[in-house]
Amino acid sequence: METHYSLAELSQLVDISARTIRFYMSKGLVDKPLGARKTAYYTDKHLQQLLTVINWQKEGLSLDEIFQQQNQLTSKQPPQFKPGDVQVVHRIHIAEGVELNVDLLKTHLSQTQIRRLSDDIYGWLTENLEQEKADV
Amino acid sequence: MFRMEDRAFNSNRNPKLLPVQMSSDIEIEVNDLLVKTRMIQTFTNTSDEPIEAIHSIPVPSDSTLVDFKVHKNNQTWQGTVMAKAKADQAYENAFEDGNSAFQLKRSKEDLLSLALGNLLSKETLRIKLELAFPLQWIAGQAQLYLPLVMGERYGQSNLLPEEDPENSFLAEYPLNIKLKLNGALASATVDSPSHPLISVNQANQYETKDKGLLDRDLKINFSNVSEICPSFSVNKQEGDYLGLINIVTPVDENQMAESRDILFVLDCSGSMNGTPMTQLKKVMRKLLGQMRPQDRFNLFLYGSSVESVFDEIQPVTEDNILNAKRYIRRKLSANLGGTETLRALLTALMSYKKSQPIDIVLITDGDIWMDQSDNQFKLVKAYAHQENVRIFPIGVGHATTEKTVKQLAEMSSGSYVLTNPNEDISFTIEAHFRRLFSEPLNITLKTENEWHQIPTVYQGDGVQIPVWFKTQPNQIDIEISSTHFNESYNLTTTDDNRAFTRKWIADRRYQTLDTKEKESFAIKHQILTDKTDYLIELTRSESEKTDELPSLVKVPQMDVYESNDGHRVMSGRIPAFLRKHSDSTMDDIKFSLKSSFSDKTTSFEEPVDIEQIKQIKQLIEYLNQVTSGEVEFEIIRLAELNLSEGILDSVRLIIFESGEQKTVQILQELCSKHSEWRAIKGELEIYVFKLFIGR
Repeated sequence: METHYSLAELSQLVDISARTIRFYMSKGLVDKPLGARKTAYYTDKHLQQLLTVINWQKEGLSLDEIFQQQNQLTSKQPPQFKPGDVQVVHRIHIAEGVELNVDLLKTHLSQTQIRRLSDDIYGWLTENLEQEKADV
Repeated sequence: MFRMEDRAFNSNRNPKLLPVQMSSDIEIEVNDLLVKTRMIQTFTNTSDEPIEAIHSIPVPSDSTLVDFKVHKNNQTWQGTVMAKAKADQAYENAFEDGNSAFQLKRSKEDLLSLALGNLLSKETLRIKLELAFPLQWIAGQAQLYLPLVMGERYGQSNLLPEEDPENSFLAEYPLNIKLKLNGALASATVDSPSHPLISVNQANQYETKDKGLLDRDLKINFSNVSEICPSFSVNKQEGDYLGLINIVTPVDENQMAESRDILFVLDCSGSMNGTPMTQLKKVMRKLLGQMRPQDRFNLFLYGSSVESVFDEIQPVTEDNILNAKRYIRRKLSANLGGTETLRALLTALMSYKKSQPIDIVLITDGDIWMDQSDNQFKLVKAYAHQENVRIFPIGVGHATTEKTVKQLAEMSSGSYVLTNPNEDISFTIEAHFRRLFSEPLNITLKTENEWHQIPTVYQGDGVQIPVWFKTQPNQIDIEISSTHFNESYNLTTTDDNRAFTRKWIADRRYQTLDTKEKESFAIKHQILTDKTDYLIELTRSESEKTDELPSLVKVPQMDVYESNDGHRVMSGRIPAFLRKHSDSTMDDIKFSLKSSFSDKTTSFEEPVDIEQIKQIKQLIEYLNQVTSGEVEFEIIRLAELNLSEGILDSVRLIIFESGEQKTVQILQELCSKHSEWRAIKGELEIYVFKLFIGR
């Protein structure tokens, strides 16, 4: 039979406060309990989720990264944006109507590579526009 | 046609992107040198579900939480201070039973963490906090600084993940401020550069002219202050007599003629972008104009790295001052990445051989996580004490981290000021700079007592001296002296039965107790500390209880205000997690997911791809060559072997104290013992700590 834990028992097992466990739930890293408020209980699945969070944190990952890691493993759709999220994006104007948007948090490109990419796009545009003019 | 007023629109009740809406009413009462502040934060849950809301509240680092209450409709619940474990248990029990609980923690000296457990859907609660903290003084004028918002801080907070503050562009919290002046400041001239005030009702009462927002700190300047007579009051509590001396020290225009070396350490990290950098340049222009011909100076700019403007310390000549001013005007910008303040101070100090007294003027917005238990802090303190270096920080920006500038000043017997971008800084900066050319005052208590605390005081400062007695004192004798004057005071006791004074005094004593005495002391005196929390339990009716587990929601800080021709804009302040590397380091700045999201400090830590064992073997080989006399010992050679700045700093300090030969021996021993840089670095830091503090 599956073991049932109260929040207090779960908290003691992993040495994390009940409130921090609720915080992890709010971040989608740990599932909500089963049962109603008064009879809410947790299982080994919740315990495993918590241990996973602890292990990844020891590796230096942030909570957002841990969530992405978990979603890759379970093939869940990683979160796009939720209400209230703010994104910082570099918008590089290449030509009239052509812009390159770069989210530095997501890309692995270095600044040099981004500059080269911008130059390449600009170069392609210029070349092809000139070619078009020449063909006409 | 659709009109706005046709909608049944209640901005407090409709669901919002941020489910918790907040507003703040602040009532400030100035009583001579100690300020009593009542903050009423109104929280509304606009969502359809019950929530557990967590909010961070910045407070002055030398403040005491005097009271904590919750109001709902016409009912009030009073908070009780108890041991942390007991408060946690009571909170969880209430939560589990479907009731509500409200827990207030002092998570840092300058930060409170408020947990509202089970705030019902569409419910509004008012949380009342009462704080006591001292005014600041400069050359006989008083200043009040109340932090109201936190910017993103660089470094690691070491807070619980749910208590780590967040900022949100979407957060908008209205603010009202009322001010009442009692005692000697009742007739002072009042000016607030951060929140313009107008006089109401009587001459000594003010309120904010316009509706404000909780997006900048409060600064109020008091000038034309009537003479404050020194006073001594005593507050009795259960066999203890808690005394408080209030004195504003005389202003003394005399300066020491002795030549000094002044190092300007300037924060050029990403957080200084915009208003803070504009302010820094203004302050530096003023300071350079005040330099004396007998002094010498240099400027150090820092972010993730440190650069000096001149290769060597320079005499104060017209040309050098002009070059410095030009550099500041043309080249200074917030482009050096992260905010390695402590590293910068160490680097500036170790950059040359000291030949005359040094003072450091640090100009920063202070946006870092800094604890006195950090090894870097201890190193700076040890070095400052060893070399008699004083630090005189100047805080800039709309939301300076007051704790950073204050603690750096205090640990080095220096002094600090906090400036607002909208104020005329001439008086403040001139008076602050004059402190460099004077010594702190000597203050001696002549009356026997159980305990007292005398802070570092400069001429013209107001000072509160808490004194503890076991028997009722009728008077107290105190002597204040400097090179140029000597004043004695005999002060008769007056009675004071105000809780806020008593708790503030008790809190000062608490900071000096042994760990084992702290919890019982804090509970006895009902003060919020690192060992005790405030707790309130609110029993709900059965109809109010739900089966749902409330979702935990962080109530974020507002983005710090950024002035731009009076319009509130996001000026491109770079979030802390992007401020890792300066432009001047590598060309290929890699923003890997790990370093982007990580809260850990970077840049002076070991590179991730070091082949540690191989490199340590190379170091052992080099050290053996030094021992055998084949080569000389050089720090630059260690840097070439890829040792981190953290290790090099420790090595420099050991060489300074123990000489090169001993340093080589220590390094050889540690390298043969450990195969990881982290372990070697840790042991070196402990060794340095013992050298400078442990003896």
